[in-house]
Amino acid sequence: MSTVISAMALMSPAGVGAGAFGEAIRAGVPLPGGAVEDFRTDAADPSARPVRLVDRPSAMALAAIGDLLGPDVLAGWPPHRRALVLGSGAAGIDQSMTLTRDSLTRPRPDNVNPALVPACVMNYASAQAAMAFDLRGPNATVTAGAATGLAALRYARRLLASGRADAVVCGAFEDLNGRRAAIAEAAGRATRPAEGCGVFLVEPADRARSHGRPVLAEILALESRVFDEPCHAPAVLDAAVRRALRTGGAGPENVGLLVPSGQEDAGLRLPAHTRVVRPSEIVGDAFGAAAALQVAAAIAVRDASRERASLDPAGGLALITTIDTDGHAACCLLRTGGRGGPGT
Amino acid sequence: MEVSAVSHDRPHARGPADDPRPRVVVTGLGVISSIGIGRADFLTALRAGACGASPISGFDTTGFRYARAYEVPGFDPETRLRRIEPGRFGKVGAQAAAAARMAMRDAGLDPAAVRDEPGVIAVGTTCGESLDVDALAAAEVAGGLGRLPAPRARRVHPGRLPVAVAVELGLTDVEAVTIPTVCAAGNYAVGHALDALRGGEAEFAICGGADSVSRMAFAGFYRLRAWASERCSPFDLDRNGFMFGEGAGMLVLETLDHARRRGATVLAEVAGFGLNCDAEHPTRPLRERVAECLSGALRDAGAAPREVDVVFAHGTGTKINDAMESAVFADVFGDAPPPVTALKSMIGHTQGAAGAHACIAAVLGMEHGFIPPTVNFSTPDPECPVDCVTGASRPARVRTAVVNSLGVGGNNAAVVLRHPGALAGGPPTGQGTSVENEPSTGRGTATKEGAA
Repeated sequence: MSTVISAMALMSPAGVGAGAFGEAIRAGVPLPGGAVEDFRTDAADPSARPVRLVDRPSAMALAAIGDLLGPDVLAGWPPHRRALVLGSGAAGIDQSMTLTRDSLTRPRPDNVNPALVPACVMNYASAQAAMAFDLRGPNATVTAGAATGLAALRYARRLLASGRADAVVCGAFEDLNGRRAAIAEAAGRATRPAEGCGVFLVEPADRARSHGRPVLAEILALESRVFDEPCHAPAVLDAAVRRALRTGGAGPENVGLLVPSGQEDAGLRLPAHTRVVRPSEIVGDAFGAAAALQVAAAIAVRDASRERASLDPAGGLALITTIDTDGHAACCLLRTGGRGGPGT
Repeated sequence: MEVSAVSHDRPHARGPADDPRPRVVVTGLGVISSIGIGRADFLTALRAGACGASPISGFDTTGFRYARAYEVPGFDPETRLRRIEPGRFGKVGAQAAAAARMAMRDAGLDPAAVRDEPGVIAVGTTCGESLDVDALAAAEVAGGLGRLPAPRARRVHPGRLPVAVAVELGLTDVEAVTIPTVCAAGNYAVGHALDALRGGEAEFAICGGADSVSRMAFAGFYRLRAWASERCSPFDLDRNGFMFGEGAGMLVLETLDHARRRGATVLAEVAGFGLNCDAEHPTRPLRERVAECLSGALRDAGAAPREVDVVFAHGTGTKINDAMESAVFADVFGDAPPPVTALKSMIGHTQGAAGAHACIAAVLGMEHGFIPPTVNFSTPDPECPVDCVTGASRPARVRTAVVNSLGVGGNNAAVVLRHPGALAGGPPTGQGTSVENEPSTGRGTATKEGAA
């Protein structure tokens, strides 16, 4: 079964929408700040149920999923066959720290905001999205640090392979907040924190075609591994990349585009002609959303190549790699070469 | 209520005999809980009907009118680790790694022997490294965000939990993922591993869940009046809420071929899995969808409802959950429902580990011929018309067990386990209507567990 990405919706420091992100990636100029400036969460409705809370990370995810799922996507898709796989790297930590702080500092230790409780755990956005779009099928939340976006894609592909859903809404998000930045700094991670969200419609190629949706990318391989010490990361990632290429029936020479999370490509033996795009240098460190934005960058760059009729003769494969300092090394091999997808 | 669940289409709704997918089995158990650490202690406590509730010791509870939980006091999981240096991972990661180490030993599987095989490590959690999150919040109160302690900051992210397992076992070629689908996460992890092994992406997996008891969770649920004052009493008329528990439960799963090739003892088959989402209300579970999930898991296993010998209920001990679940069991199993038990009465709500803990208890019940009791039970509730196994463990021939779980937000997941006796080939034997004390399969549990 060929699994493809047939739609995507984004928000990034470049703004809301895939267009703004693609332009920023193609321009290659670092964006100042790190927030999605044109995304504002609505003030919480005072009449709403007390357990509902509009917090920024889940609001971002919900808005992006709303963009992804037009009425045409949901039409004819039975609710119990609609799956969702969503992830982030740190969602809930900011809210949890607020709750603990309040318990420690207020006159009574139970004088905490009960509305905050559901947002302290990581599946809050997934649950909200299910309610908003009647997604009654498998609903999973995953996290693997900076590799979360690829872990979500792998979970999504497995749901399709096992026949548990017709298609999957799949993505990752991360918001920018003071605590996240302070934790990164205390941990010695020199980053330029940013926020963002990338969500994709993942489905079998046949289903995309029959619904008239374009194949933005075919997922040829997803690999992930764990490294113990940072010095082992390059070799561990290299082994993952080699297997991904074997799975995809490709060689290093077929990789026309490389989208790494940082500078880890120094250890990969890819040919000199491979174009390298580094989203983190442009948008900053979106942590749990980073890998989803890398996938989006691969799609955006290839789209632009097609428009200029300058398709890479090497075969149109894009390789996304990620090293998460907590120990995850992962990669994804995509075919982004043709409007009609593979074989067309 | 109409059980529309049974009519849903599903491509793999076949019996085991004509299902071409690899069969997946449990070969090892690792458990840390308030009533026992390691297979032998846990088994003894399950049979005895122990209750692990005690005054909270992990943080200062001054100012709360009551403050009890199912902690594992005095236990430092790092003492069970061989490769991870102290302090590198938080307590929850250390628990996951320690339980994984126990499970591998229980499976008789030397990690070095599978180092070159692709594997899966899936760890479910609700609150992740919640003790480190609490500590960071305390540091913020004390000195501001500019003075957060580096060791806590370095180990706070929940994506590290399966990394701890991999590092402890020296495994590199593993697909490692944390599944923070809250209180259904343990079952999610088992189901994720099942699908990976069925799909041929790996031949072994280490899966389960881990959590601790934090100030954040206690203060929040105390405030919501969902935290029980003394103990968790599922299905009892006077139940007054859940109570979080600490611990980890990890299982070693393998394809049947992989287990047979290395001559492993098969403890149970993971026969089926189902998951879905209420998509209805943030906190109130939806009976119809929970029933659909359970029925879906049975279809995935190729098991008829009448074959089920015991249901390990989610059984949180809240008014709403237990009544809803009782209704679901009537919907799914009709007029001859199997016995029901609720492990949370003994070990508390171990959150992301709850499903894994229940799977482990179910496997032990299968192996040793009993159903663990729902303790803390005194008065039946007409709203919960189930055959709840109360007081003492009940001798039973368990061939098929179902583990039900729900997560806040509407996440439902159910696992179906089968006795290894059904693996010989052909349709499963034993329809599970007779109750008899099936002796142990002769596995030397006490000696095998040793000091693990």
